Amino acid sequence: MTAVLLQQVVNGVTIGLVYALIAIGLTLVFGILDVINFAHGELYMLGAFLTYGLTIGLGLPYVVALALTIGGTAVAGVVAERLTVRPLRGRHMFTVVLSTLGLSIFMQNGALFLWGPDPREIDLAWSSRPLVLGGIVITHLRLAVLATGALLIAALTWFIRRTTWGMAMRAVASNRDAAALMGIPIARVYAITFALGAGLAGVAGGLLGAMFTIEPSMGEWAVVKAFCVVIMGGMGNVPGAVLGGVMLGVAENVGAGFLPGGSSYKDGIGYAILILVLLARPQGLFGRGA
Amino acid sequence: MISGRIPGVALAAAAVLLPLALPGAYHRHVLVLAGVFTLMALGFDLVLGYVGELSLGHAAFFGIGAYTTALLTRNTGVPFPLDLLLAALVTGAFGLLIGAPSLRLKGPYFAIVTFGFAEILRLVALNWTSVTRGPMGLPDIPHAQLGPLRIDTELDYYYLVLTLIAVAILVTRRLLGSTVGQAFVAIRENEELASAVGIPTFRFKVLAFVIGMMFTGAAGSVYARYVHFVDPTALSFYYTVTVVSMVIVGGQGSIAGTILGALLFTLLPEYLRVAERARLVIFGAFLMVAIVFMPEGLRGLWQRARPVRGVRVAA
Repeated sequence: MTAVLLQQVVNGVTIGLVYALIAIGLTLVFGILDVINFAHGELYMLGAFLTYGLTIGLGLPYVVALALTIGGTAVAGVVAERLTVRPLRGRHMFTVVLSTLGLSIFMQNGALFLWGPDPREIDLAWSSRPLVLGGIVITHLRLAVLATGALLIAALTWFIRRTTWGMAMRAVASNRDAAALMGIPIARVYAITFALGAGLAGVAGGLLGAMFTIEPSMGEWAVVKAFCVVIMGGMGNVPGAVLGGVMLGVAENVGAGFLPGGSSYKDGIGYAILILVLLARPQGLFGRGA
Repeated sequence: MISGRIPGVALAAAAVLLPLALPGAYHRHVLVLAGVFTLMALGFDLVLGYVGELSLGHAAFFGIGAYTTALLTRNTGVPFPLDLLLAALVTGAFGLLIGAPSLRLKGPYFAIVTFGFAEILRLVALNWTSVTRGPMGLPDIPHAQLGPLRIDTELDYYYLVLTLIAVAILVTRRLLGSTVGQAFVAIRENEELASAVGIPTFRFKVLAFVIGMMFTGAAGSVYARYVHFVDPTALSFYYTVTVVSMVIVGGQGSIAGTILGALLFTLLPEYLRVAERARLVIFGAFLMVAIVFMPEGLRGLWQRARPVRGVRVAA
């Protein structure tokens, strides 16, 4: 019983770190630009297909493919910001919701048009090799996912806390007008934020894509999960998103294993948490109040 | 506004005569769809356009209306206008249930709560198979029968939905003409100020949401009757996106703009069917371009194109 529970916790943490990677981008963009990016899930989908093309199509090693995926989706993120966010600066948040929704529909159906609806596998020779640790089985792929996720989250934290651009991002998040008056190039901060968020979402696509299958509609549920995580952590709160992601991953895996009929409502666990958190603590579980 | 310049009577007459001028059942079918969407969009705009809250779970309320009628007619044989009324009431009650806690929150939270609610409800519709039959849906919903009058052709349904649209417009007009409407607009323009001058903003927001969801539930009920069938796809996010597009591209806070948007976004995906696989690609690109180039909607474009009424430049 405890071994099963522990196994589910480990699986949950792995998935949860990937949720965190997706959610960080969403929460950064919200915290800094005041924009809810509905095309975020499609950047994640794009990352999965990029990784697929680079590994299966071109035969590159997985690590190289992931690195290139970060770069590729970061560029896509900058383009997305130019197309759907920058022209609407100063407009109401809801108009940007709609322009990013348009982009989301465009990208998802564009992918469907180009690559068809059939699920594909990022099939790596070593991915299912197991590592057994005291009754718990972890595949090599899950280990790689854990390591990559932790590494990227650490790198992002360093970037935000220690670099000049990171400081600029924090300044814009806390007071946009004052930051602009101090000479911070707001437009460039926005572009960097989108690039970071998109790059992390893209690499998350490459990671989860190797664990499950990839298809054009995969961004739809990803953005929903990311919403749950962002709300749990508090909107704009990066450490909160990391904790929220891991908590959601664990809650889903443990819930699916132990609740009666759990697996069919697995995806509902996230929404239930979402609504409970919103009603009880809308500033997020770890927020310090609005 | 458009409705102010062209008498409403003329527009109403055009709406009544339009299907008679169209050849074939297909075009009439598209008109029924446009009517159902218009009713849904009017309900949505009452919330977005007048109290400034964005619901991203609109399809859920449409689905509640559709499932209410489906379950009532299949299991109890409730006669026609009663199931429509009950569908509207049940949907309104769900609006109260969701709106009462979530409309207290400031910021984009209402949008996210409604979004989560719609997804949960879709999962319930999919998995509660003993009641909803899950993905197989509920078939054989009977046609409406009103006394000797049997509502079963496209034309009949068109007039039914047109009647409901007229009711919705009248209700909206009456509301907006009263102090309630003034309170709505005050809340939309500046919620803090409205609340500071003593307007119970929360209560008015809930009121707008409940009434708007009743329109939407009625639209769902008529739709279920019209297609004889309801399944969990009625609750899909695609419908929400379509209605949000209608209202924002048409012009929020305007009955005429909403109707224009509803027509545009019913006809566009329908006639884009010729493009087959590229249909939604074009739809997405269109939505993006439409918002970026006219963020205030078609109505904003119309107002910019002509000089402000009553202002004359001295010669």
